[in-house]
Amino acid sequence: MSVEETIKRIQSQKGVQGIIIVNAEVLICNAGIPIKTTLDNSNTVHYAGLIHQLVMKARSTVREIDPQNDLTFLRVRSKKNEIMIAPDKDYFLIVIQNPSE
Amino acid sequence: MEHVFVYTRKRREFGRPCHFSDRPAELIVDILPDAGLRAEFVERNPLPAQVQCGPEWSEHEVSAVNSMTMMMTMMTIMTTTMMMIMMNMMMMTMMTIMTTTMMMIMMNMMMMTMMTIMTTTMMMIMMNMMMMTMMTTTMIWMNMMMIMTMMMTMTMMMIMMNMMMMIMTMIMMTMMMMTMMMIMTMMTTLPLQVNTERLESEARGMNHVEGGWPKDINPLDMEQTMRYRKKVEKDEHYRSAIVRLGSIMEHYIKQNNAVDIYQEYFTEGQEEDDEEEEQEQPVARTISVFRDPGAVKRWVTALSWSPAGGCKLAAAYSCLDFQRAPPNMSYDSYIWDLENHSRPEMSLKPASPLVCLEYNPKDSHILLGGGYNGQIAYWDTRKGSHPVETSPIEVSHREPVYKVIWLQSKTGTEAFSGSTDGQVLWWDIRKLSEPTEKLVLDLSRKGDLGHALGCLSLEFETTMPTKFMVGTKQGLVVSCNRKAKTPAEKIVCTYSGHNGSIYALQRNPFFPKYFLTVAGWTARIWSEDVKESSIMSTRSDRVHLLDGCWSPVRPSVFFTVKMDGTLDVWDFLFNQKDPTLSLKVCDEALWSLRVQDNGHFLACGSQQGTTTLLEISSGLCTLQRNEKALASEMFERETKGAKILEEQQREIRLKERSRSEQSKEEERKESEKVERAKELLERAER
Repeated sequence: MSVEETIKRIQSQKGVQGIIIVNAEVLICNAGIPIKTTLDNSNTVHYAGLIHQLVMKARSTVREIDPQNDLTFLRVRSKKNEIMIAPDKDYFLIVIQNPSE
Repeated sequence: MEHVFVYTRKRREFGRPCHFSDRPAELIVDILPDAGLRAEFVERNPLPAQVQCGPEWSEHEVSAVNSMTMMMTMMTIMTTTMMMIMMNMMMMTMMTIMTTTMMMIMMNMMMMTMMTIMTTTMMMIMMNMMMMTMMTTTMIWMNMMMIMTMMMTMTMMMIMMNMMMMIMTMIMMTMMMMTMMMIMTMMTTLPLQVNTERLESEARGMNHVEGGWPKDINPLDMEQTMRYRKKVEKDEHYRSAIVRLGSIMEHYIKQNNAVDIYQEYFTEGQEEDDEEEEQEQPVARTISVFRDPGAVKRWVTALSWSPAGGCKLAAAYSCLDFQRAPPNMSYDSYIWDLENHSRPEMSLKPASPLVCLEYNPKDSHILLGGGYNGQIAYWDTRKGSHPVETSPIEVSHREPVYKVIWLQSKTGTEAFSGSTDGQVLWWDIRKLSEPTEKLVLDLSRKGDLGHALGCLSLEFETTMPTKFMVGTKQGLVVSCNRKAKTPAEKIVCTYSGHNGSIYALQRNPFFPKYFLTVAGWTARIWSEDVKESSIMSTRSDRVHLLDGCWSPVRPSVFFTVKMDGTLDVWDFLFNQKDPTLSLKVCDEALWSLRVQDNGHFLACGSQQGTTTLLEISSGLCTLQRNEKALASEMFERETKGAKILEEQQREIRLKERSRSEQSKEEERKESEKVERAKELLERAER
């Protein structure tokens, strides 16, 4: 199961607007580096930077409340779409979906 | 008054500063502004004119335009002085070095000479040549002297040179000072802070540019970034992580597609607020308590809300205990304003204590009251506390008037009253000298007062103006028709089934065919069609129920008050057996109860003269969905059931009657037989 296949599978799901893979391994917590993306560059950079900070904050929140706990998934639901973030130690997988209902 | 400071003389007019010296100041350096540099500077007009009062700095006021040139000149002067000082220092050091070396040499030489002298003297002494020694010593001495003098001169020269150098530096210093002074006294147009550091701050937004790249990679360079990305993609860790994350993500995406988890589920419930409120426990809160201001506490026997809004409450006070009223009991009844519960707004002074009191539904100033002695009186609140007119005792009731009700008429002045003496009298308040009509509640329809039923409550519904109902002390509800031709026809029918005197009687405001009676230990709901029994009844309570009324907004809710001071709220759509809400209002018996027209407030009056005003929760006074339909369904069902029971009862009775008739016939037959037998015997004997 390779990365390409995974991305293709996700892309083929209904309502998915874009996928971004961000490298989180960064010393300065300003931005993550987008490794792979299906969106255009400016949007990607935007998402990568902003979401990186959000995930860091969310993770630190969860950890502070209970140090044994860790963030597994983050959903940001907005009026127009939903941003879903699956964080890992070094990488984030960000999917922007438009829930059709 | 504003203080205004005006410069009378400008600084540029001051002229040269005064020097306290014999010679005028010599202009050593004159650094003129460089006009060519002017183009490179933006003139700020006006300049901030703050003066900094720091301890080290003197006030430097410098022309703005020449600042740069001045700076340059300053720099040059400073550098030169520095150089001079440095040179001086160097010279000084050199001098000192030289002097020290010279000294050393001198010392050495001296030592050497001394040594030679010593040795020679020794030798001379050895050689016993006094003369020679003398000469040598003198020569040596001469030598020494010469050396000494040489040394002296040398040092002197050194010192002289030092001095010279010092003087030179001093001169330079003074020159510098002079120039400074000159600069200071130069023409100043606008002051400028020279010695402070200017901090310029600017507000900027962060334009999010790609960042976070490792140091060696230039984010703008496509090739480098591509290369970096490719490198990351080949990382094994990356692959496994992405695959794992991908599967998690797929799950959630599918979940999103399958069910909209943020869907609004109960949209109907959110439109109405009732849905949420149904969950709430119905509550009733006491808002205020109106106490009988008199010393002797009387019973609150009747309450009446003022019409059209109901911000005033009229309460009738009397003591219904037979002949047990204390002698100094006041006869007054009061009108309370809901806002002010410390004092009644107005008092009504009848001839005898009022047992019942009613506002005219058309005119909120007119009240009608029935007294303990049977008289009827009416008040106009604009005209004062005394009744406008009272009916004469001869034509009034003979017992306390328990109920007065206003009638629906064009003039709005007609009312009727009922009393336990068995009479129902109709009055027109314009002429209270005699009743307009009279009815004796005699079931045998003979107009016999002796057999009449005592009336305790009356009921009149504006939608059915010809019919009215009377609740009697004997426990019967009598339905009457006012417009009947003969008095005998007036009484239409009776409803029996209660086992106590009927204190309250009211038709359901939504379904006039059904009415509520409160008597004895139960409250019952009756249908007009069913005469034998009520269609619905509450469970027999431990204490007497004393008053009750329907809620004007909800067809299925009614209220009752009891002898132990409890108020019960019944909602028979919710629960028929028990009250929905039971609230202990006070410790003494509650004699009267009245709900305000909007259904929110209700007032109940107690035996100690306190009237409590309660607010009931909105769940109990807002019409629920389908409530009317459900209530009517329930009523119909119960009516049917009651009818069926009635039928059964009738059949049973018929059977019994027929049986008893049969047995009578049999008896007759037997007796006939016996008689015939006797006759035969007699005949036989004759």
